[in-house]
Amino acid sequence: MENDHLNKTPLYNICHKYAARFTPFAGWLLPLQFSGILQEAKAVRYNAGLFDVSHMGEIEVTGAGACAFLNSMLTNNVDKARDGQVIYAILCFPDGGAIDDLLIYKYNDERFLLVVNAINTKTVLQYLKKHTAPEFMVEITDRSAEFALLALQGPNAVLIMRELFPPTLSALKPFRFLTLPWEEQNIMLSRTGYTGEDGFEIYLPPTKAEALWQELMRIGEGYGLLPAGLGARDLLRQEAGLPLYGQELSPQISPVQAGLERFIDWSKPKFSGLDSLQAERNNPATPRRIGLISARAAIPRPGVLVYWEDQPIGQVTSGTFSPVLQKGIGMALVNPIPPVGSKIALQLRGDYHQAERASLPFYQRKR
Amino acid sequence: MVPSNLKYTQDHEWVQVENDRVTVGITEYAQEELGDVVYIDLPAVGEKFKAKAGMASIESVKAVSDIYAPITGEILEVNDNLQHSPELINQDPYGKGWIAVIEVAEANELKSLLTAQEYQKLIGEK
Repeated sequence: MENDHLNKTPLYNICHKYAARFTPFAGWLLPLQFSGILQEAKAVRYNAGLFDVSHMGEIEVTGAGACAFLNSMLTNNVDKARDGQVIYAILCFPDGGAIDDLLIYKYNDERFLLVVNAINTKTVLQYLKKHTAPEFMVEITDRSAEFALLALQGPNAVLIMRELFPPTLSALKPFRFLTLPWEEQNIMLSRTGYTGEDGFEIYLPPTKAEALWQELMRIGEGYGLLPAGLGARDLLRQEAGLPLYGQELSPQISPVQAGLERFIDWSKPKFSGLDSLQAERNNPATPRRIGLISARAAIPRPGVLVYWEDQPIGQVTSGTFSPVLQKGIGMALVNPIPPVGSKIALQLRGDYHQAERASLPFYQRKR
Repeated sequence: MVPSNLKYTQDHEWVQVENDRVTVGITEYAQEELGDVVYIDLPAVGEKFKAKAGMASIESVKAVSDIYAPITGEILEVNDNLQHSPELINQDPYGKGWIAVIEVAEANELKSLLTAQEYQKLIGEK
């Protein structure tokens, strides 16, 4: 009842049938877990998991100057992407703070789809519209309501997809996408994800979402597929060292601080936030994101203070239990930056817990 | 789902009373709410707690929860198996997932514990 004001995705009913426990997230009521976070995370690492991520926002940018416009806004260079390719970038305020991190789907030089965090859809839309100039000749449209989004993740994802779509799909490379007809509708398949595993994200009309979910679950039965929720998604993205907007990126935390410099094209003459990011990059006092591993299973929670050589150096931004390492893991924003392997301490509930500075990611799949 | 031979607390712990000692654990409802338990901070044998003082903490992927001493007394035994297999709390909360045994210091405190019926009411018709 207290959740009445929240949006429900087109998959709410079917997730409910699959006994999901829901949680409010970014204005949406989303599945937190089904069979259990650890079991779902395991399914994704060894078999496959199916996520409802329909809350994500989709913004279309079209027009003759779409490339030039996006390059004047985003940290990454969309010219580097070919048609049918997906690239990751950050949109920053002039002071370098992150407005959002997003995936950019390039159909062609004059048509792009930006996939943004649900909570930031409006802000991104407003910021882009405010900064577009007539010479760019672009049109910016919120298409969020036109897409449901399913993420099928895990080593068996490709085997499941091959039964439903043409087998040529297996040749789709990471960070590539294509549009296919399915049940008389166009759906967009992309080899992307947020779990550190191989997998697909499937964009389709909301009216078809339930049918596709059921079809994937039916085929997935023979492949160890489990429905998975936000809890498992958060655990998996942390093991994979991926930042989450609101935790590792925010208006206060720039992509330089978040360690995302490889998604910043420093050779571009101009983009929103460039000067500030450049200054931060050259400032030795800039805090940076690090990984840390707790000596035991105790989980470093956001806000926990991190100590190095008895001095507080920063705070934890995310933490979870890593089934791969069987230990508590986390990320923190710190300065000075202890070298990898340094003993650090976490102040957890009054006690100091031993931990170690680790390199990110914590987990990398074998290819 | 709520065993009738046990007593309960408002904080979703169960208490098995045997003469002057009680065994303590968390209820099925509590483990379900917590989700996968990954870590437990147990008290030491011989430690003394006042009723309602935090004596242990249970950490799940989702959150950390304190376990409060249901009564005043000294810790006689702790379930060391939980150190390596904290999932026992999820799998068998009323059995292998027991947490500690406490020696009763003030017998009248036992009267304030909830009956199975009262506890059932507290958690609703689950």
